[in-house]
Amino acid sequence: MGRRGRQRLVAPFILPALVMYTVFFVYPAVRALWVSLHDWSGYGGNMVYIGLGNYREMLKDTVFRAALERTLVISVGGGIAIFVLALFFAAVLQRNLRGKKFFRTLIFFPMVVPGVGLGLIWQFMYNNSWGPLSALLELVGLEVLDRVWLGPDHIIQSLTAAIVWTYVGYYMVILLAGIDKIPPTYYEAAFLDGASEWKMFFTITLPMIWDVFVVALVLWTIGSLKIFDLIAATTFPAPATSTYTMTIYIWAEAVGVYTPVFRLGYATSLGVVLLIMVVFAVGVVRFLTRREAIEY
Amino acid sequence: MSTQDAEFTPVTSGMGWRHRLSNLPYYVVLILWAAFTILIFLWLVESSFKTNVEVFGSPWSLPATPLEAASANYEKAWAISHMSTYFRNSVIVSVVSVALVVFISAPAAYALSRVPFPGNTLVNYYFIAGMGLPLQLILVPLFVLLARLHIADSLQGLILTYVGVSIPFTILLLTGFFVTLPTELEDAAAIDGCSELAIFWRVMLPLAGPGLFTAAIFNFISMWNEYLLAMLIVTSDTLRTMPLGVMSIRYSMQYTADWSGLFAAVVIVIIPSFLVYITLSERVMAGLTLGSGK
Repeated sequence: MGRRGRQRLVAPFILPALVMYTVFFVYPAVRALWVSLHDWSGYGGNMVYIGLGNYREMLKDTVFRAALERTLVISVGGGIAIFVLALFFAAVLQRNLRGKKFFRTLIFFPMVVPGVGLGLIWQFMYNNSWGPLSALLELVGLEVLDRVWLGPDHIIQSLTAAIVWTYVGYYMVILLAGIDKIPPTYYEAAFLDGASEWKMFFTITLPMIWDVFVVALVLWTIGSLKIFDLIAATTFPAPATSTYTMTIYIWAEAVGVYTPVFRLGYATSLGVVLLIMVVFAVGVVRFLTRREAIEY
Repeated sequence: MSTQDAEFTPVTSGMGWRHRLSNLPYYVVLILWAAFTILIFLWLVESSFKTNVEVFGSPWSLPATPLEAASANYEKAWAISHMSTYFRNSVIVSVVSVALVVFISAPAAYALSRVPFPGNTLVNYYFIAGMGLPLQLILVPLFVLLARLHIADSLQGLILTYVGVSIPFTILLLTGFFVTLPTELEDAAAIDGCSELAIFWRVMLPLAGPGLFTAAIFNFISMWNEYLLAMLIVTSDTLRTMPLGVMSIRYSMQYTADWSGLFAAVVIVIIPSFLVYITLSERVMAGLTLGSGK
């Protein structure tokens, strides 16, 4: 079709989005690379060029290293829990059991709730002097299991549990969409051959949804490194440095969680590290999960 | 089970109770998880119907004077803690940002998905790259930029920022919709002498209606819930959005420990998301997960 007129639409159609995106997202991101090479304390002060000084400081910064570790623990540990559960739920809900829609909708629901709301709920839940969790353990005579849930020794497990509960529905729905596309005839054939449910799961379901699974894994990898609202609200208003994750540490340095810190250059260099982690992690996930596509 | 069910689930149907019984443990796990989720939110609502003494003294007991306690808590949250103002700000910011981002992303997505032009793929990649950018990266330069433009600590600044950072995903989502539309209608309209603008506006945009709606819902929920950028940009009390408002109530509680009032505020924040979700759950789930299918 010779529709030359269309070409003239391209610029006016694309430019508004291009400009808004460039000015309010890309420009600050590119600018951040430059800011990260500076020492800059306070929005009124001057930027002092220090080259890779901020990055060298990180190597000696024990708070940074611990925050990085916590972030990775949440990403890997939480990721394993989420994908085991999401695959499990998706496989169970794949059968048309009564209330399938109800369960799917309910398990997804925490994703829709503001993260700060969830975090404040968990902050109270996990409070070991008056929270319901500790009260429940006492009620059933299991005080030995009681912990300082949000103390430095246990906070990462506590946060990871809350994160798994929040996000599992999201990955379940993605995997379920993949499973629903598998032709039922595969299962019929396997069933007639006497395959067990487990066998069918590993030989039919998992290989057939592999591409969807990889996409879900990439999404989790990116998302998990950036989780902020839920963690910030759970530890609000005064998280101890011994409970920082990367996102909380960046926030603390850029604005100050309790009292202003305003180490703007350093905070921005931490943001650059977060970006590098995202890019690197996505690359690793894609490398580890690469394989020949199975033709059925 | 109906015959239709049997057709789609050969695995469980027609195998008798023995087989279904062996599936019981799976269902139990599922039901426990669902019950836990319901319990959390019921507990939250129930706590907002209690006095502070009850909340602290007996977190698992039922409220003694639900109506009195609730009216006190919700009155406090809505009026004294200014949740009514925060609610209005959140509505303004979310509605205007959603309208803007869909309005400027739809033509761009249309051009990118249906008009071949030099550099098309490159521009597409440029937009998609934004999906990987963490918001933590842009905090400091963004604030400086908004201050230079004299829109730091303003709803305009927040709206423009929300639009900017939401464009990548919105374009990705809408491109996915435009690609699937048939070309016949477009071509027919062109042969009939429709202008290219009219083809987009009168033919393609209505066809992409479900996609626009999904994009709008997705953006509305993300913006309604957004906390990090709002906290960076807004500092005035009167300009706070709901998430900021709830957190500011929590902040002031260091002196009052008024948890029951806070629970009422948390319920108020959750209600709009909850209402949107129960009426449009399929759309919401589709919107939030759609980009993943591409």
